[in-house]
Amino acid sequence: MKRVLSFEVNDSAREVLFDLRQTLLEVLRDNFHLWGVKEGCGNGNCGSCTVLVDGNAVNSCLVFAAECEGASVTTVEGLASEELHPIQQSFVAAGALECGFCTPGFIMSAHALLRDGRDPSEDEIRRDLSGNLCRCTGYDKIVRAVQSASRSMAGRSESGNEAGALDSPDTIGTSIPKVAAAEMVTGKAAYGADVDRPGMLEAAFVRSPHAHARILSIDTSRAEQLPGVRAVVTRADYPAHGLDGPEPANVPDDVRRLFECSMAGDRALYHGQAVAAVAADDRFIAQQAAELIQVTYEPLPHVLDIDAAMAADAPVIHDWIVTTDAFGGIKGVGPSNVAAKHEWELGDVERGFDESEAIVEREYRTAATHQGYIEPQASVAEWSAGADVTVWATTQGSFNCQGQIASILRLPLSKVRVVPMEVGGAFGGKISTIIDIPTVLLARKAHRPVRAVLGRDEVLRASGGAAASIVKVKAGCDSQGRITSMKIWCAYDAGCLPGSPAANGGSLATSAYRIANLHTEGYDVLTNKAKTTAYRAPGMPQIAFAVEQTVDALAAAIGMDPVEFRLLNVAGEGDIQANETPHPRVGFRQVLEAAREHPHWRGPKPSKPGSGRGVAVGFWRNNQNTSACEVHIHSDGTVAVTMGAIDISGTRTALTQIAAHELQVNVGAVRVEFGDTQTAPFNAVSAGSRITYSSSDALHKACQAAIGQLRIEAAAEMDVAEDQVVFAGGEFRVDGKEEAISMKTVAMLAGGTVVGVGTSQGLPLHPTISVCICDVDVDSATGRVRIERFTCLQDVGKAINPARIEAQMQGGAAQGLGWGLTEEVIFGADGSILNPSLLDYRHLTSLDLPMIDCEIIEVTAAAGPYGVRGVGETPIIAPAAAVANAINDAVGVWCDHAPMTPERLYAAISSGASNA
Amino acid sequence: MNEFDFAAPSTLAGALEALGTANGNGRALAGGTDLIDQIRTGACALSILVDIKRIPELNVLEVDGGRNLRIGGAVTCTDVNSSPLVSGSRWSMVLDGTRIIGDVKIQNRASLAGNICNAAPSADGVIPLICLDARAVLAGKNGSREVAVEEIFVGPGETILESGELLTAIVIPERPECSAGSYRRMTPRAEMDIAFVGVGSWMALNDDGVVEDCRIALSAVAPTPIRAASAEDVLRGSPMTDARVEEAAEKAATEARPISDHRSSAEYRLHVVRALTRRTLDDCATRLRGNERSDWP
Repeated sequence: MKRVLSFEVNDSAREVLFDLRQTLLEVLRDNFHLWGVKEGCGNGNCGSCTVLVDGNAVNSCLVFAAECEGASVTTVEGLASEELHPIQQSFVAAGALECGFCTPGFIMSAHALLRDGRDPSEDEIRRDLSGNLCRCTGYDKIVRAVQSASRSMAGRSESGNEAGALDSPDTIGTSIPKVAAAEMVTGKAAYGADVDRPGMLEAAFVRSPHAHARILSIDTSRAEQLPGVRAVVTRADYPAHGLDGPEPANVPDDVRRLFECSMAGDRALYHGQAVAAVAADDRFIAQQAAELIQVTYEPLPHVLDIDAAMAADAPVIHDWIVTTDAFGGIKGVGPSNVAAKHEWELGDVERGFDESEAIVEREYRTAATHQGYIEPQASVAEWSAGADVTVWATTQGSFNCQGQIASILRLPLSKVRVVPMEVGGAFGGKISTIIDIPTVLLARKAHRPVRAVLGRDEVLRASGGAAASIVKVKAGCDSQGRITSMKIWCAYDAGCLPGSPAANGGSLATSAYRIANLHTEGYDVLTNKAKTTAYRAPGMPQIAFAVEQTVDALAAAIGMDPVEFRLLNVAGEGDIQANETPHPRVGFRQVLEAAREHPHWRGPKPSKPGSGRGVAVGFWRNNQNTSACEVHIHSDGTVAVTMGAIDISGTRTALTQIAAHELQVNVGAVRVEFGDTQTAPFNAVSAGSRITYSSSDALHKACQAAIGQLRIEAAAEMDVAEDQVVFAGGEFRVDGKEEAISMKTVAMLAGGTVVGVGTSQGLPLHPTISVCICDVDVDSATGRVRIERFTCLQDVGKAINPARIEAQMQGGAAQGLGWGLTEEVIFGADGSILNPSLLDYRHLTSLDLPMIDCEIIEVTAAAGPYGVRGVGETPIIAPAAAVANAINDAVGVWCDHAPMTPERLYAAISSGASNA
Repeated sequence: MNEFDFAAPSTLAGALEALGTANGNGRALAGGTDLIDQIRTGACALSILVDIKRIPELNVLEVDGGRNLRIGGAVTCTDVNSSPLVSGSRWSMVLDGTRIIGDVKIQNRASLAGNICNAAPSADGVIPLICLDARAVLAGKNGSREVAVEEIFVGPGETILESGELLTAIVIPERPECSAGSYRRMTPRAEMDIAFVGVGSWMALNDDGVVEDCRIALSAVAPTPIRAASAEDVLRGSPMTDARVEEAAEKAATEARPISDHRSSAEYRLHVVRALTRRTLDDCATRLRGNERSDWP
């Protein structure tokens, strides 16, 4: 039923014809194109859609538009006029945003909080923002931004600008404002779901209600007959690729993964797997059509956890999978749910244990978690009249996404253009495409653009989170505290196809330490769940939760301070890891020494009962991969940098600073854009904390190439040999002489714009280490834990923009603490997810966290320009272990299970489990 | 989600007529913080949605002639939280619930009456009302009736409200001068969460410090919010001692009939009933002395 709604939107009287089923959120976005109103969960648990109705902050997803007759609605678009609103200014200056997706909601909540000149306390701010989830920043900078806005709105503003100036070329090491921050705080930054094409259809999915079932038939006829339905696709619309043929084992893993993560074939492999997709004139029709599709299933036995899947009598999920090793060698004899067994050995562990004074042996489990990005996956596909398709995607790698779509649909790469949108959080979860392929197929069939946007329940059910794990550790040390031997057995839940981070767990578990005798085994185990995906240092929080508690237990067993114990055993340059790789230069010792000297560690512990302090170390190798870059030096002296990377952590900001420095122009004269696959040079996926590392190398080379061309021109102008001309301070001059020509003039002489191209490939790894210190307060009567204080220290190599790095550290801390305390994807016996919403899948809120102190340590990386290291992933590794060690310090029990929920901790306390 | 009609009448008669003609397929909408999600996910099918927020008498928050606190059916948690009639009054236990229902954005929308009508076993707003002996006014086509809030619940999502009936007001009677109550719940997060267990305790003391009256109610440990009558009996008629509190906590656990689900095991819920009963009884004593209870034990 349709009605006309008359109300005021951002101070303008508006009338609109709308469907009574539409929420205020939907009318603001779909009818008024106010894309700053974001949908993160659809049921009032994330706050991204916060708007003001008659001055009160509300979740616009939980308001029917019909209720708003005569009301006055304010969205983030209504705040700024010529200038940014003081709250928006404060968010930019304090760097209180990362992906920007949750930012408009926070700003609207803050706006309601600060009305009438209120001056809230930190606790009041945290309380009023507790219904707005941020997954990137750990809330620290957001709370500070609101405090600063409160001061400036009351006219008590110290200039308050933490951000560095834009009128300098040399800003490396200072916190200039984040590139795109102004777009993000005003709601103008465009994300996948904000793409709107003429004639665009909306998609909906049919999902399996079984964890494992044969699909006997799919009847789409009733759906197709529904008026407004334009296309239905199933696996029958995919090219064959031999998946269901006689030799399925010959299909490469990545191809199979893209099939199963986007659409089920003859079997549904997990509860929630897509079985069909529909495109219709609007989402209500699409949803109705999806409900009309009749799928006949024959349920098959399913297996849901690691123990059950590894049991001898377990139902085998794929009869063509046998156990292989890290190099593809066959290790098993018959079909198995153990897809891989990775094994590494150094020295002689048994001899090591014989020489040990103390030995600790424990078993730990971590639950399945989810990246928990606030932006659900979205995709828009549109075919040209020819055979070209354009996809506006939420992805961590546009070229990676292009390759995935092209390979599965057997399209030439050149016919697939992927336009990457701003990404509202990813953390590894937006590498493998899950909806772009069906969207492209629907668009081709319907001859219309199609948009698919997942609901939060679909994100949790079908996108695959991080692997659950079981880790067994046996470790020994001598009477001096030297670790003599360590044996690790770890198994990770891969979900329905191989590819859990078992190899990371096995090979990197002990990398932070120098241990002569090691034996590690990592198992990649299949279950009937969505294929688990990368999550920020894949596999490492799980293994650190086990190893770091065990290390604490060893230290306790011989009566050593946990930091001193780690300092005694920490690895150094040249030390061999389990996988026989020697460490390059890493600030192992420097970070631990800084932790030892930190006021948090040195200061007195809170003495009240239930208080405790813990420490833990996180190690991650980081990745590198190909980055290419184009630099245009224009005749007016400004610089345009184009890359095909995805900015998920402030990369554009760091590259702006680097380009300004390289070319000696003010940062305000540099514009860095990350383009699409058709217009930007190639870049591999933004993952493994590699983008600033690899891309700064490419940028450096591109700048050098452009300077090289200009140098030729300058030499000709000055009538000297090329090698006599130097570039310094933005000018070319003959070495040792006064006379100089500006870069701008040389560019003009060169005929206008000069283009430099650079490519980075094959850089060595740039590992790093972090240390977290955590104080907790445990309510022993209920098992609830409160984080009282948290500090993280990390070797970042070289901090290009300290504020952006702090945000990474604080955000990683918040995620890691959630992993340790509250976050868990819970599966029912039938394989369904029992908590597919942000009410029960519990990100920590602003009220659950304190300010998070950061100490940046700079031990330059051995390779790459500036000595930068990857930063983004490492912060998530140690927090869960640090909080576990703090809990042990407080109440004397080990946390054998993450998350350490109140119930689990209470059970441990009351059963008298102790560190004996 | 099915299609439905929408009305926003400005009179109670208009609302009752709209609901009455819907053959039981009408739903009243106040804050909608539970209902809208139920409609959107198809869990609640309806033919008409009746927005009751434009009815003046449902927006009343007042102390009436009989010295009862009267909270209209559309009054939001935020209205209650900011009312000088509630804070510092002998009804202030209501705030222990209304301040923790969702966050401020949810509280800006959610009505206390809606928290009753949604009939979630875990409803935070309901337990303080039961402890304070609140009654609900139900209006229907044949006039209105008043029932005790604790009598309203039948099961999860089910109430005694008849087809076309509307909860128009919550009435909390005047409470004795020397009385205080406290509601606490167990959640993993500090806010934005759903109670695994909630316990409310309320007591009135006479001049000799004897517990003259006592009401203890539990949430999320039975299909409906429940009274823990045997725990009340332990305390009523005696001075409050540690031993009595301990015994009451044990009794409260015997009244609970929790299930095990993905949020918590039954066993842990029973333990938390004991812990929170102790804690809320202590809070009553703290508040009776005029002090604030602690945020964290």
